[in-house]
Amino acid sequence: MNKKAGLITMILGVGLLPLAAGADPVDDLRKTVESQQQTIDSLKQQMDATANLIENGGLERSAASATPDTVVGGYGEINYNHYTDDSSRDMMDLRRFVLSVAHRFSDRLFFNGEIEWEHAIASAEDQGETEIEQAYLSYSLRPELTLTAGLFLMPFGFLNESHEPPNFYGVERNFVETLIIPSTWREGGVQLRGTTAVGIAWEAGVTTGFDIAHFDDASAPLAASHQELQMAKARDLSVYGALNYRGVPGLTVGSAVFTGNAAQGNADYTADNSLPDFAGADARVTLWDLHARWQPGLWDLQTVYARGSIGDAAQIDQVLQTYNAANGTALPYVPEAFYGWYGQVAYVLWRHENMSFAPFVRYEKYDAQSRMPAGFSADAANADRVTTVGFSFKPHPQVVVKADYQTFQDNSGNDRYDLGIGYQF
Amino acid sequence: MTRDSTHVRAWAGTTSCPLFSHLRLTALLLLLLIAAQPPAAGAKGVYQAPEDFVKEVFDGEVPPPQTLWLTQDIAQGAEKILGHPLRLLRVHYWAKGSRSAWILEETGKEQPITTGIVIDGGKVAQMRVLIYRENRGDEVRQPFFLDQFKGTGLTPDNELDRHIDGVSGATLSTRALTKLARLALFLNQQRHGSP
Repeated sequence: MNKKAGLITMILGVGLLPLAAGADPVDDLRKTVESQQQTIDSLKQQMDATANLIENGGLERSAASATPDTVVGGYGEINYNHYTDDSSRDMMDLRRFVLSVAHRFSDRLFFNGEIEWEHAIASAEDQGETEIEQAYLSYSLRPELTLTAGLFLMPFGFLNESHEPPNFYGVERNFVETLIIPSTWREGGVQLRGTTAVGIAWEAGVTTGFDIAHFDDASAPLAASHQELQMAKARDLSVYGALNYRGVPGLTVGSAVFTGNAAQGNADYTADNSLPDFAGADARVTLWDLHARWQPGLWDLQTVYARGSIGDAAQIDQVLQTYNAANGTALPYVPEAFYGWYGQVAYVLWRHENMSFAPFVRYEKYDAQSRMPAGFSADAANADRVTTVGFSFKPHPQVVVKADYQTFQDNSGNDRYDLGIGYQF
Repeated sequence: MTRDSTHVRAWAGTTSCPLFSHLRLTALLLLLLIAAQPPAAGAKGVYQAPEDFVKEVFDGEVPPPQTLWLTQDIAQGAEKILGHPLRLLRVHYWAKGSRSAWILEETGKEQPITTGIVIDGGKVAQMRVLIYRENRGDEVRQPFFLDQFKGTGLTPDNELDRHIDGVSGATLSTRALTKLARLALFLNQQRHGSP
């Protein structure tokens, strides 16, 4: 009994000793928690500081300010054409290899440039070309108003401004937007561009124009006489305007017009009187287009109509006819009018993560010599109706593998299968 | 005859300066007149400062910013959405109740687009382009485009549960904003206490 009592007393004594000494276990627990919370807070601060150091070199910087001021990009395509009627025309070609540079001088002032190589090798003996496709400065006057000066793309159709391979259907660029709208069409000049909250985008500019003395290809009237800012004659400048409505997501409807004389003061003849004399001709070149695109869901419907004219064509062609007869040359004749249009339907049939597969069909009609001066006839080879059926497969949104078949109703000898790969970055 | 001398002789042969033909001069002067207006203050593509966006989202009573640390799983999920690694160790966000606000960036064509995204109840409640730095394609900052994201959620594959119609000529900007909406929804799912 005494042993039991002694043991109980001892246990109680030990247990009650802290109380007897005035200690509070709840208070101790609270102090321990507070101490641990301080340690946790300190560790969090250390982690944040470490993360800052790793992410931003110790500075408070956003990803945006970490973006370099100069960004290099590019696009390119390699195409293969197989002609069903004449395989001797089959060809595989590095159609274009383009590098672009964008530099940000400040939050308002940018430079954009593009250099393009076509057909792999550019030299005196080869058919390749090296050209500057764009080189302009852009200044943001206000968020919705931008002033641009330099060499820039003209806002006609869709392809001219959006011609990277993943952005258009078909291995080859469509005929309307190459033979009628001379993509990639660029001029040197000044441009003002604006957008509005309701989705209207407008553009206007004063630029260099065409040089009718350089007309050398009846199949593409404007591509034959564009100057591309290569020591471009600027005696006759041109003006243009464009209006687009994008206020409904997926819908774009727009139009553009360009006009300016192309006689350039008869400069070539003035410098060399062995050349054709176009004195008295203004050769006003006018081109206008209507375009629309609607992308509801996985559908992509697109149409472009473009029409152009060259003033004083009769006078110019009379001069050329006389010149050809006197010199034994075969300089092509200038049309009074030319036009083209197309309708295209595509559908994204399959998608998985970043990959997609989209078949398409396009019908286009063009005539590069829809009206010739009296006494001058058009070449049937310069007009056609073309149906293109094919697909685009994208293993990545910026890479595309294309295939299509094209039938030419009026020049069936051009029927062909096309394959191509393209990229943009 | 070289091209240079051709150019010089052509100029010497004219009797009047061609630059001053009526129509072109008028157009050029008109353009320069419009351009010569003083630039709008703050007109640097900054439509709203991120801190002002957050204040607006929470009616001035901004909760303290919280941190979502990007564990391996979260980082992998983010990379799958963006198509490239998200080079951050953590993402800050603000949250009150079922509502969270995120400031995220993704490159359009060449420059990042800073975007504010509000998630409420697991759906996009609001999306706003705060800073747009690209040269073109700024239609994507307009309500007629961004309102499409309202009410979108995330599928089990981390895709948006509805199609977003793009803006022609702004494909890369459209894609960037779609990725940011997916990323915000995904990160919101990862935060502790998210609905």
